[in-house]
Amino acid sequence: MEPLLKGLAFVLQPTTLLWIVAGDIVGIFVGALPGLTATMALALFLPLTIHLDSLTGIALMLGLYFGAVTGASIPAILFGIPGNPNAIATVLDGLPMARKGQAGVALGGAVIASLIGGLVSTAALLAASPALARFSLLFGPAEYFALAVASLTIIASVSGRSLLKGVVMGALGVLLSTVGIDTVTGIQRFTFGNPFLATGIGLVPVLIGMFGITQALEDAGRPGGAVQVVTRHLGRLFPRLGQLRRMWRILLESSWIGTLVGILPGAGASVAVMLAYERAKQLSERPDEFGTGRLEGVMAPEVANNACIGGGLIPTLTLALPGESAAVPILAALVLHGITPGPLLFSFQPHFIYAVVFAMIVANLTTCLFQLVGIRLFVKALSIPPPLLTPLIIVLSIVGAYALNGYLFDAAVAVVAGLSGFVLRRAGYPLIPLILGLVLGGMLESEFRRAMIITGGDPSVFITRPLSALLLAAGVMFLARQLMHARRAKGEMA
Amino acid sequence: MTRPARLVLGAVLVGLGLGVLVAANGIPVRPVRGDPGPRAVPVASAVLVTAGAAWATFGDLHRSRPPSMVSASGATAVACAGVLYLVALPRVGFLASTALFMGGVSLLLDRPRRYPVSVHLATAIATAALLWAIFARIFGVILPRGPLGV
Repeated sequence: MEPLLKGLAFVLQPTTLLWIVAGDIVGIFVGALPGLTATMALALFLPLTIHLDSLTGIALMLGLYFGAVTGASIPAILFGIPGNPNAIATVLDGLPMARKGQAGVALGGAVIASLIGGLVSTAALLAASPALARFSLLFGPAEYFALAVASLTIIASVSGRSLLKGVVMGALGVLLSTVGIDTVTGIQRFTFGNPFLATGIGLVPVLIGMFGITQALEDAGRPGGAVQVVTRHLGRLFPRLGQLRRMWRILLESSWIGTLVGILPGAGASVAVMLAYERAKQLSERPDEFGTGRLEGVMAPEVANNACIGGGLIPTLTLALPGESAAVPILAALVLHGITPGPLLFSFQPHFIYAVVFAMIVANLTTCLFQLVGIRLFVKALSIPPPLLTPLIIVLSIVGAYALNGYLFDAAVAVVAGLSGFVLRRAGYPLIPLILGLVLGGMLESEFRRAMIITGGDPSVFITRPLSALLLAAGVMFLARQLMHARRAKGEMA
Repeated sequence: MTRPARLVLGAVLVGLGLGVLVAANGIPVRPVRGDPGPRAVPVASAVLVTAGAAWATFGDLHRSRPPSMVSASGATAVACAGVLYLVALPRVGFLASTALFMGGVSLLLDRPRRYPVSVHLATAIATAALLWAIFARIFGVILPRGPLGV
């Protein structure tokens, strides 16, 4: 009991609370700006934590982390720009909701969802860290490959009217992921002597271009310049209690998906949000309306991306293995302050773990509070006249891509992705499968080859390892179900 | 999108796939026991892109699509402005090129004219300055500089 009270007393100190709040505000701001990621913000603030005591420094970073992940929903919902990969799936239903005049409830729902995801994963961190860390160790190359394959089967449900075109785009995404240095042999592929291509085609520039610029070009082509969004009647900011009650299973399962994917090093929030989106679609009463502005389509990925934070901290604290890229600066802060992460941390410094948990709870609550307070202000951005909003979205997309590394090359990638996205979408090629292929392609290839090298080329490893077989079977079942569903829909239309 | 345009896009995708298949032959292979090698995934994906795009394009040719609500001319004009903006960024600097792009595109899209030219220009300059302040001053991003140093 004493360590618990000690941890709580520390977090409730005014200075600690102030640092968490400061982190939240900066984090929301960073998240709301395309191209600025949670990892970048945490890395920028890492030197500052050296001047603070260890717990205050970690509390500041947690505030930043929650703020940045939650804040990314703002441009995704209002402008259709997923400023970072956490918000890929939020765009799918968030933007249509905003365009229907439901920006308030979409943003409010995203904040509530973030709070739920954050709190569930914090509870998981407190209650089951050692067990969940052991679960993450069950994942070898075969399991990661199977996870990538299972996640890629989502293409079947996000391809719209043409599965074939979805498969083409998915394959194109995987192809793009192979550009750069091969992680297994170190050989350069398709770089054509361009040093910028050696590190591969960046996911964020492609994401920003394919969503932000493509959408802006479509708006520019509409009569009157762009779509005028209804903002005068903001309406409700919170989903109705009945809606939340109906969604309880979606919210709970998305929390678990986020936490479990978060603890797997290298899998990332972008995988979690797509899996959560897909699961929400399966559980929804109206799966056919996904993509047209369903609240579940906004809340499920927002639950999952925040749950990834707690999930990512589990291997960071128990195994010194960052589950998420943003957990790397947190691990660095721990090491800089002389704290050795590992199982012994839980035994010898339980007050530290409790303080981290309480800091996460406070960071969650304050992020939720600040973002809710700001919703009316954020939605005002939508009342910008369409002729001004369209060039602003393009500028934000180009500058956001540039700001990632300070390379004009990234800005050019965003522009090329935007132009290609516009042309491909007009021809009926869905863009989400390409993003999925780009996100999962690296993991798919490297883990497949690692598994094959370990077994000396024996492919049976993917079905003889129980977890791998289970994941592959889940993928096959999902694919079969989607194909049957598509066939039935086609039959009904005929 | 018109039928010829869809055919051209299909040909571009097929050409891309075939180009990758040719380029993949140039990837050096260092034999490691069990490793399918660095060519395997690019080749498999390129085959899928080539065959899938050819099949999809063939199917598209026999299917009529409803006309799009999005006019290609407006989008093309903005796309060209976007490319010009990208080219101008390192030469003219962030502030000037952003103000020019914002002002030009907002004027282009404001049809029928609802705001006077002065409003467009003032908004463009103010937005460029605000973005510069946020990215360069607050977050320390080194934005492209022109002859004026900003």
